[in-house]
Amino acid sequence: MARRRRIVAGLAAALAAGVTSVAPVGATPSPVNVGGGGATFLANMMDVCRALYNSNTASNPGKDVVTYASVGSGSGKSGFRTGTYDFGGTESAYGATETKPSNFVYVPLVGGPIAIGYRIDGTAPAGAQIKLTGELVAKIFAAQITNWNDPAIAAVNKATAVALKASVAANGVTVKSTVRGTNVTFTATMTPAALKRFKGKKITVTPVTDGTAGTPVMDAGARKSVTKLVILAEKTSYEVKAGTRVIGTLVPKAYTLGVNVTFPSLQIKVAYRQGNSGTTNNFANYLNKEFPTIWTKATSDAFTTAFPGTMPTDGTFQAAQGNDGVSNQVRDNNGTVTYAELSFLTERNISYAKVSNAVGKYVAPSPESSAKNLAAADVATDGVTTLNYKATDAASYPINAISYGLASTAASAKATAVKSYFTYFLNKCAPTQAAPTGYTALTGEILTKALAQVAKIGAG
Amino acid sequence: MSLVVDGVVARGAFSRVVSISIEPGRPVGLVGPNGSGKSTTLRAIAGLDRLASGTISLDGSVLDGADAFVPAELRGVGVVFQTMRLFPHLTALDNVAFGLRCAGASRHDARGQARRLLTSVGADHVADRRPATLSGGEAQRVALARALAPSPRVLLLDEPFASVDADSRPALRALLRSLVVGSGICSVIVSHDRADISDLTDVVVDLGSAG
Amino acid sequence: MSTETDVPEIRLISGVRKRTDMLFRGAMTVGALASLVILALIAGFLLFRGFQIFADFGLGFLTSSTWDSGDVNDPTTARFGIAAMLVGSVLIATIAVVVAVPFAMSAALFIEYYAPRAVRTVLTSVLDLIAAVPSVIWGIWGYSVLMPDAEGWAKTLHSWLGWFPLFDVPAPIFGRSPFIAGLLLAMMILPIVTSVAREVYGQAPRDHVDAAYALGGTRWGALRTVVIPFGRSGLVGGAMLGLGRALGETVAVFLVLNLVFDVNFKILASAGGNVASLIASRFGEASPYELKGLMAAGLVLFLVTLLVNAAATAVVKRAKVAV
Repeated sequence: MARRRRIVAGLAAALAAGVTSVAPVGATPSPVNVGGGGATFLANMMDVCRALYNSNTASNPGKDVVTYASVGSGSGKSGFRTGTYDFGGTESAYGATETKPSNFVYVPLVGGPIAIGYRIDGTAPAGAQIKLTGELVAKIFAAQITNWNDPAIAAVNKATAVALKASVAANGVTVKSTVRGTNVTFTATMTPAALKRFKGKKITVTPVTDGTAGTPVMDAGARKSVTKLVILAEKTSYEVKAGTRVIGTLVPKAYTLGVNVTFPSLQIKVAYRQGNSGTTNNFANYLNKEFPTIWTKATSDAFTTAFPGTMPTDGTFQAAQGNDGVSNQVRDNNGTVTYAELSFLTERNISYAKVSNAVGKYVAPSPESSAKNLAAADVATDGVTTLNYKATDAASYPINAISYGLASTAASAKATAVKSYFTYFLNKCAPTQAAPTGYTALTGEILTKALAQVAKIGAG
Repeated sequence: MSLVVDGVVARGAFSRVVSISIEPGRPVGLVGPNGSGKSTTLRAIAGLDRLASGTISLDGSVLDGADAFVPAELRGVGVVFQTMRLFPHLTALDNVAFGLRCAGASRHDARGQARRLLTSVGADHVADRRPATLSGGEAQRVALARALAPSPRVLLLDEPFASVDADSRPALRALLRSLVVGSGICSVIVSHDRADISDLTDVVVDLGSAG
Repeated sequence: MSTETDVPEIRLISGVRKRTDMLFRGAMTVGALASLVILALIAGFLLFRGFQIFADFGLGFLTSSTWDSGDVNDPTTARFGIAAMLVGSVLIATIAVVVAVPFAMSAALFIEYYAPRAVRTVLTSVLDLIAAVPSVIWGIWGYSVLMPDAEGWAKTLHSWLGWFPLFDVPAPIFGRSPFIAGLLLAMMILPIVTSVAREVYGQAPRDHVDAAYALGGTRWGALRTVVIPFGRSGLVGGAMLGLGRALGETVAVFLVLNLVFDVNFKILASAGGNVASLIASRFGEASPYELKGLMAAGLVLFLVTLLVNAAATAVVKRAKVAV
């Protein structure tokens, strides 16, 4: 049911964006062969979606056949320009001086978190998921921090004591917590002024465990006094709101958040992408934009080019091919850290760090936390998307990449077929297939903008 | 104490029966027309080829038989070939020292011994020269010294003076005679030259006659 | 009794070749020339595509070690130099040859002079089989099987010989080094070097080998005195053929070498260069200008390999004449 609703929402968005029906009603069009090619980043997702599309008679009544060659962003861009590919896949836009194809659009298709994967044998507790600030990530990958037992790393991997806070009050709203055994009672009282102010609004108490908000345990209409008895969740604080206004955070019982992680003295080895890579481009752009004093150079598809200063040549920096290569490098070598698509790490059981976002929360990479960040991205009129590293959503994971489809705006049977496929990709395939495949489906505003780009395909 | 060959030598399609007995210090001459099996017999004695059947034995121990074969390098034979076959990249001295080195002598000892041998064959003045620069007679003296160096129990000579000019032959013949006749070595000489045979050997086996 | 029909027609001897003969000759000529033409076309293609790089960077392309595709938006910021890659290629290929030649020599001598016929047949086909293993399989095997062990050997080597600059390392990281890449390549070139070694050793004059045996020489004595010296220059040629192959090897090296754009002579350090791997790793996503750089690098490698192969052929040929 939920899925269906989402699809309907997607279709509504598509219609709103002015997408017209792609298959002429009543006609029996001959199948079009659509050949795409480009980014390897995108390949897994493409393969899932085009297979579904090729056999889906409802979305693909013309029985078009879509293929995709996983050849890399650079080849995707040049292949699309020269007409080798009917559509291209890339994580980086054409350069300013690069020859561009005429009449084309960028269509944001799918995103994904760039996770910081690591292997550190000998942490205590063993296998602890470590936390890194964005700045630590920048310094580690710039060879400014070279040992895992660096005090700066230990400092953010300490347990934090969360003190008891049994009462919060603001705007005439007072909420108290009382613990009895394993239960906690929340009592909200309101001054007459507050009652008036929040009339028709709700008082909500939402548990927040380890940075993740749960479902509200108190969700009452504004009244003079409300009491709610719930079972006390361990290591949980409660965010109190009246309407949308934050009253404060209750801590019914003091606890310690996280664990003290102790690190062995171990040389940090960095595995980076050999050659040009869209992942590198997105990763280095995050570092350059957020920490320009450390990552002083503009981003590049090549890690060696984007790297600030001179890269160590003593073997602590290891070039490896593709997401596979860097992931294997981490799996096989103690002390190694890399940046890679999340799915490449999870399929190898490689640990990955939580990274602090713009509001200082440590968030693990996931399709959900990535989506929170992508929602804040800015899509220009040509479709080029600028990720927002300062997204304020507490649950947003800060380092992401976005993949574009390249398609022609000139009218042709091929363009029509590409348009149909991209529409299917964004509206039907990605919402259900992205997360299990390790990608992040576009939703909300960015999806609307992406569909607006789709509308330009083959529009003449 | 004798070398006995009693069997069938064969090479390719050719084969014939050979029966010879050789006593130490009493060289045997092997004569016969081309293709009568002289060289083939020598190769069999040297251990370079196997007998088709029969045995070769030395002092009663079988060198080549139905169920025994001692390879060439373990027989303790010395061969002087018709074309001499000196190793072209080694000096005359090192050619002579070869067998001694293979037997385990140190380089120094082997060279000392080789020099004495060269002196005994009257070729010490060519010790440091390469075979390509030697005259036929000089080369033959070196080849003789080389064959004798590992103190072989059997010495085989295949047309030893064929590539030596006629004037040098008597001297070489005398030298060879002094080295083998009356010594403890069983030697076999193949030659077309009647003078060689008559001068050096007491026993003559003619393979030309029906074997 | 004899009639006219019994007399065979006189066969005319003509200077003109028969049609079929001409056709066959033509086909063979085309085949023979094709390889030459293809070689020339490849060289021409690389020169055409890479020429601009030589014009832009001149000798610096060979002497500098920076490989920077520059700002995507501005090709003038790109810097290309293959010194580190070229040095790395030669270093790794040399290690491969140094390791492979003794093995190839022993294998060839064993096959030619010691092995019974049955063993010889088996060994020869096994060597042919080794030659048929695809490069990528070598690479994967090298990465997952050889490297963990080879790292240990490298550590041992370093602990004993670390005082010597060649075996020194800047950091205690021993994986993906020229040493390991060289070991892997050594195994890959073993068949070709062995096959050449067998050929030259098989040509050692039988007379002299017999002579050695017949002088109380041991088999080792015969090999050392006759066979090995006779095969020496042929073996050098075989080694150089192996070197040529090792220089151009791509995929296998690519997986077991950490490509670093810095000239490095420390063979155990986890940093090295390889022109072929550079091309393979950059080709897929290169900008048009970088692609020219890769073509130029390809041309340099092509010429170096061609030179080595030509030298090898000459040496082998000379060896055959000498024997």
